[in-house]
Amino acid sequence: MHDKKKILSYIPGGWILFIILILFSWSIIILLSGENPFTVFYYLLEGSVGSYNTLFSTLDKMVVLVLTALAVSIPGWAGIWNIGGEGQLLLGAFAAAWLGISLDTHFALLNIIITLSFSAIVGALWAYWPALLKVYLRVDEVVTTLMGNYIVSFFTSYLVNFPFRDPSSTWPRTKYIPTDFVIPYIDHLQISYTFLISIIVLVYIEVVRKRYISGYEYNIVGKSEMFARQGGINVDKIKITSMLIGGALAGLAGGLLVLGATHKFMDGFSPGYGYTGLLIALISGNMPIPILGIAFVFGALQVGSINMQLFTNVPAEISGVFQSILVFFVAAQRILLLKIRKGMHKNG
Amino acid sequence: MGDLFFTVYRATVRMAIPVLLASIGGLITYYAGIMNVAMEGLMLSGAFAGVVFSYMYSSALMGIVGAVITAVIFSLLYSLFVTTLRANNFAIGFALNIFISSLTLYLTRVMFRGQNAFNSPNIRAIPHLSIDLRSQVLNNLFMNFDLLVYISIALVFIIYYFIFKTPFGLWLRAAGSRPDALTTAGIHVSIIQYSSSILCGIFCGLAGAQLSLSNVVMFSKDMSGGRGFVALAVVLIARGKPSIVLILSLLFGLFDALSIQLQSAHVPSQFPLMLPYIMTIVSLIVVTFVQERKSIH
Repeated sequence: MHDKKKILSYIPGGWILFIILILFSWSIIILLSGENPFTVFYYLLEGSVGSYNTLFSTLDKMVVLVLTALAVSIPGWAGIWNIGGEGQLLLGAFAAAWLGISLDTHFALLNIIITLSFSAIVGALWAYWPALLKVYLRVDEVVTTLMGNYIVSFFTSYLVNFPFRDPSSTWPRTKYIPTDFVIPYIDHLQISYTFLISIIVLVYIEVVRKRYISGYEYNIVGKSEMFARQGGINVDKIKITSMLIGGALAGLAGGLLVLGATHKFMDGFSPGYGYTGLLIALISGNMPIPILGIAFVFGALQVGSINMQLFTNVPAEISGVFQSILVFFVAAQRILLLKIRKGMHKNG
Repeated sequence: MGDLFFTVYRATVRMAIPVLLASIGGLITYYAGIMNVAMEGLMLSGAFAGVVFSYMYSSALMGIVGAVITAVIFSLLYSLFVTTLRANNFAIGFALNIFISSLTLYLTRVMFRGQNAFNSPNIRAIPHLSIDLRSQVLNNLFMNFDLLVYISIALVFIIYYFIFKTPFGLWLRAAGSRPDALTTAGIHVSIIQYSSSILCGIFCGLAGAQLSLSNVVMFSKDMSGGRGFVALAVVLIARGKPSIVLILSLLFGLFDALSIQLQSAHVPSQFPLMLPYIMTIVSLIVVTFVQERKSIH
């Protein structure tokens, strides 16, 4: 009996059931539009990993997701919430567009480096005040960062509707940035150098986390503040720095979007990148490598759903529904798998 | 001057009600020990269902009932994952918000072939209460609001009584602060948490109905506009005190009303629209600062 239990726990049946459960829930939503779920899944896969081109598009979509997720994770290690990724990203993006139309050193690489640094700094500054309020006045950072998103969203909307609006366009947007600010695609493939930048950032963070003292210190602060204090770690400094890094990463994501994809800032710039990043970070347990995996799946759903919209009656908005259903199940996986295993033992 | 006062006053009441209702919902789960991040989505689901049911049955009452039922279903889903499956409440809450935001947009497209909004003359608005009080001032102060406004204000007092004077209220407060004591008394903490979740769903559904069947009569993309998060902030700032919840909700309504006034005064609309969110942050800072001062002395 004991052996039988042991063998059963090695069979990944729980995981297979788990995936079927997710696909089943997705199918119910698809059926609401009167389409065949299998047709929809086919076009989703075809549009996201069906060819080199679509695969590269998926990887390209990951750039923002990886960075906005890390923007939550690093403060998360230090036990502080950064829900402000959305606002930090918007400011970083606007900063990039603004620098792009007003400064030109005529050296493409220099332009790009200055602009991205500026985006990161602006993002970090917007994360700075909630961190200070949290550390010195104990003001809840969830509320301040969350409310901050709405303020920035209105503020950037003002900037792009009034002082920085390109009068030649009907939709409020800035002028296009000059070509020597644009981060190009790699060898005319559907993937730009921004992907490499985000991967380098992720690997660097993972290495620091695993190999260096500072990564260890962040973890200690997050796990037990009192222990960290007694160990002589400057807890306040680590909390503030972690928020600055988080803000910088989200700002960088905004800058990369402008230089690599949109080449301008417009009203309604972000469809909620910051919140998607938050979800990815939460179900990855703030760990860089799982972030990479889940960002890939999310990217595939986003890119694939555009293809799906072309060939079926299902609108692309469904990708948000798919992503959140995935989050429900992954966030509950520990207890869910336990229950599934228990059920299998009873029947087996 | 008197006209302006009444315009702002009436807008304040109208704009405060959705936040007030949602924060009462949040208050109940706060006491049960759940930090409810899903209210934004619950409100939106109520707003959408309110419009759909009111449209289908040509009845505002059915709209309200539909809004409440839908929000309760999603609220129970939130509880299922957070209470029973012990998933991270931030993950489930934000996922539920995104789920409802995309689902309502998806359904608007699939059911009504709309783009980002749905309106129709068949959607019935919540009727207004108009009894002539034989005085212009009294009429302006108390009459011609929609029925939900009066119901909400009554509910504030009922809930206050309910939380602080009834056995269920006692269990509710114990579920958050002393769950083991509750278990010892033979009461399942999770049952209390589920009940609080149903109540929260009812209130968020009403809040949504107020948004889409009274303040405006239509559904538009993400029309809750952060009010569910503001309600969460209100609950956290008030630390569970119903009187402060009432004051903060009215304050939020006031700033919302002022922002409507300022928008018609040729100020770029984005600045007035920021006001309620800035007000929320400022009041959080002030309250935290005062509390910290108190705890030092």
